[in-house]
Formats: sequence, C-alpha cells, structure tokens
Amino acid sequence: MPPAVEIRRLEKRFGRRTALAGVDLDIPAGEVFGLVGPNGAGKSTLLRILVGVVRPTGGEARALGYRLPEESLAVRRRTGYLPADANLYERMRGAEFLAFALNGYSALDRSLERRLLEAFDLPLRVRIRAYSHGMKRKLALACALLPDVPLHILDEPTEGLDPSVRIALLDVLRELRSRGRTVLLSCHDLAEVERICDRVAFLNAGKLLDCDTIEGIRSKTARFLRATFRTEPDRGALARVGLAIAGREGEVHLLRIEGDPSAALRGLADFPVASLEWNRPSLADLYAQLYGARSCSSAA
Amino acid sequence: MPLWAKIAPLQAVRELLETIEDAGFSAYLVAQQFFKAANSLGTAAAALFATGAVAREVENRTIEFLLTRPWSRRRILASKFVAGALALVVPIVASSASAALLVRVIPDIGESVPVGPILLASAHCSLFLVAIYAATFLGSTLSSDANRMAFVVLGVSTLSFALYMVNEVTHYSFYRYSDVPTYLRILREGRLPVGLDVALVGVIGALYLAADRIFARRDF
Repeated sequence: MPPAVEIRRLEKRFGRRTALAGVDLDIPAGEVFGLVGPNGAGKSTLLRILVGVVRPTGGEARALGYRLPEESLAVRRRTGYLPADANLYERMRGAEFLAFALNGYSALDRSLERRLLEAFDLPLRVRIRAYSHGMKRKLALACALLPDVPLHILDEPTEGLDPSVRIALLDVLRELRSRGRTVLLSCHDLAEVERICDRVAFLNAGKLLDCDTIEGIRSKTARFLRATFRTEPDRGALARVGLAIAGREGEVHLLRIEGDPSAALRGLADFPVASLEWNRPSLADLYAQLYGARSCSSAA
Repeated sequence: MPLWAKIAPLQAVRELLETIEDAGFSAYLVAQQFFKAANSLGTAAAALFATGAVAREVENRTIEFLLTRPWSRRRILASKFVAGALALVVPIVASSASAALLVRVIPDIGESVPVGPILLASAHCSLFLVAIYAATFLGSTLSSDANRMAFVVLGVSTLSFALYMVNEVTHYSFYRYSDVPTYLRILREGRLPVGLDVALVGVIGALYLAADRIFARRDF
C-alpha cells in the first residue's frame, strides 16, 4: 500500500525564518503516526502544508496521492483536520457549528458520532461563546474525527482535555486505526504518544532528527539504571565501568549505560549500591538524548 | 475671495439647497436617500462588511479553521463577497422602492416620483457602494488588521467627501459619480449613466479578481 503521506526535501521559510529545512518523511497508511519536537520545531507548519493552509517554498509533498499545494482541495475533502489553536465562531451554537464544519464531506462516520458526542458531553444548543476552552477543543476535535475519511490530521489533540476524555480519545484513535484509517498527530505528551502511536518522527529546528517505530526507538535509546548509593559514588570510577550519571532525583541516581550492559552491572558490584532498578527505555529518554534535555524518567 | 471662504463647503451646501428648491421633492429624496444616507452610511457599511471578510477572520484566528474545510478558497471568498454585497444592495433597493411608494400614500407631498427611475437610481448607488466595498475587500485579503483597514477606508471616504463639498477641488472626489446632479439626471431621463456604470462594473470585477488571486496564494 502506498504511503498516506510522502514528503521529499520539504522546505518552508517565513521571511528570514526557516520553519522546515528539507524534511524527508513517509507516513505509512493505516497507522497512528506521531510528530514530536519542541515548540518551533516545524510540526504545525508541516501539518498545515498538508492541508493547504500554507504553501511550501521548496520540495514536494503528497497526501493520499495528491500533490500539494496544487491539489490541496482534494486532500481536504478526504481529511479531518484539527488545528492547534484556532478559534471557533462564537456566535454559533454547538450544533450549528458542527453542521457548518461537516458540510462538504461526502460521508460522516455515523457509528462514531453518537459515541463521540456522548463521551464529549457537549452542550450543543448553547452558543460557543459560553463554552470553556476544553469544550471548544472537544467540539473542534469532533469536527476532525466525524468525517468518514482516510486521513485525520490532529495538531495537539489532547491539549485542554480532561483525563477521562483523553482516554476516550485514545480509544477512538485505536478504533480508527483498526478500520484502516491513517492518523497523523503532533503531541507534547510523550507518554500518550508512546501509548498510541505506531511510529514517531522527531523534529527540531525544521529538520527531521529521527523516525522509527516505538520498539525501534526503545532499542536505540541509551539504557538506564536507577540506583541509590550508601555513599556518593566517584564519577570517574563509574565511567571506568561504562556508566555515566545522567540525572538525579533526591538520592536516586539515573545511570546511563555507555558500554556493555553486562560489564556495567558486574562493575557496579564494587560500588556501595543500596538499591538498583532497571529502567525500561521510553520515548522521553530518546527525546532527552536527541534534544539534550535533562530527564529522569520513572521505571516502567 | 479669502481662502477660508474658498475651502468652506458653503457654496456646495447653497447649491444643494437651491437644487432642492428648484427640483422639488425628487431632489430632496435624492439628497436624503442617496447622497446623505447611502453615501455616508453606505460607505461605512461597505467598509465594515468588507474588513470582516478576511482581515477580521485572521485577527480572530478563525481563518485556519475555515481554510481547512473541504471547500476551495475561491468558493469561500466568493461566498463572502456576495453576502456582503447583498447586505449593501438589498437595503438600498428596498428603501428606495418603499420611498417611492410612500410618496403616493402621503398626500401633503403633492408630487409623484416614478418607481422605475428610483430603482435605476438605487442600482447606480448600489454599484457605487459595491465598488467601495470591493476596494475594501481587496485590502482585507491583504491585511491582518481589520480595524486599521476600516479606518483607512473611512478616512479616504471622509477626505473625498470633504473634497467634494469644496467647489475648487470637487473634481478630485469620487463622490462626483454619486451626487445629487447624477441622481437627478437618472430620475429625469429614466436611464442609467451607462458609460459610468460599465466602468464601475469593470472596477468591481478587477478588484475582485485581484482579491481572488491574492487569497488563493496567501499563507495564513
């Protein structure tokens, strides 16, 4: 099956600022694909190019086989899109807005409609100006998920949602995947990305740093141990056995294994270790490696 | 004649009153209906409707949601243009027709005003206002600040109106295409100023096509 999205050397400049600097990416059809990166990495710009809000300055992009930006209307007719921070028309009532937003799609997912609207529990007869921020996000999310389309692009879908709605949303995304739909989402919550996504791409300063499956990411991630010591260990001595202190939470040291894990564990026997835990690598660990952030993630 | 007397609108106001005195109720209707009401309030309405088309959507951050619907940008822009134009034109035509009909009901006026020429006059007024609307509409597709757009358009219109009221510089004003003598001619002759109206249609078309092209290619 051809990829749902194909991107080659994609570039976008806003004046002197480069938002995307030659990104190459394929997003397989029928997967939930995550885009991760710090603010300003280019995630939203990439998503907006795919729906024709923004025109690229270089490179090529295709979604569902259609060229962008020339055939962006064909893409939008087959895509449900959730913007990151767009406002809604506040004079409209919720039901009116839903009808307005879904007008133009050839079909709606009726089987999902009732479940989604019940889970979101929106006051559809009330004007949107009376909605809270979370309600507005839920309404916009409904507009993106209800069309019966092969591609859903969601920019920060869990932002502003309470925990029960987040759980319901993740269930919906799993169901969409089981039906063969492609979901492309950007998210800052790495735990959620790890829970729901099949594949993740890391962006920074407009460049693609890495793209792999969740398992592939775990295998690339440096391994960590969480240890407490009876006396403060010498860093040089730890380095000689292939260990480095990557972070600290109180008395717990996060040790990064830089060499052979077996040799490192044998070497630790010579240290005054009070407790030791193996730390299952997570998306947050790779994020910390890629972006140089200090992290001390909890054990799985 | 001192400068203050030359630039004061006294002469224009005097001529207007003399025209009303000479031409009777028709001139009064023209002055009230078209020259005072439609030109001033109509220009303000044209600016208000047009700035909301794109600039206010950008300002309110609703534009991204709109552009990601399964509709073409051309369709979005055309819908907005037509809706705003109708909002301008329908009240002018409706009030003109009702004014002409009310004349027959109110006995004290003692004159009759034919409905046909009144409707022609309202058609010319509509074209004039839609041209102002189209110019503001084009500005709206370029801008992200609706209030600034509105102030610019209203400022230009007010300046043009002030120029119109001073005889020495009245030829610099675009209100000479929508003034009392123009409408009185339409009422008396029972026909539109064809050359002028064709030009107005051409201006409206050109402005709209420019707006369409800009909107199609603009990043939001």
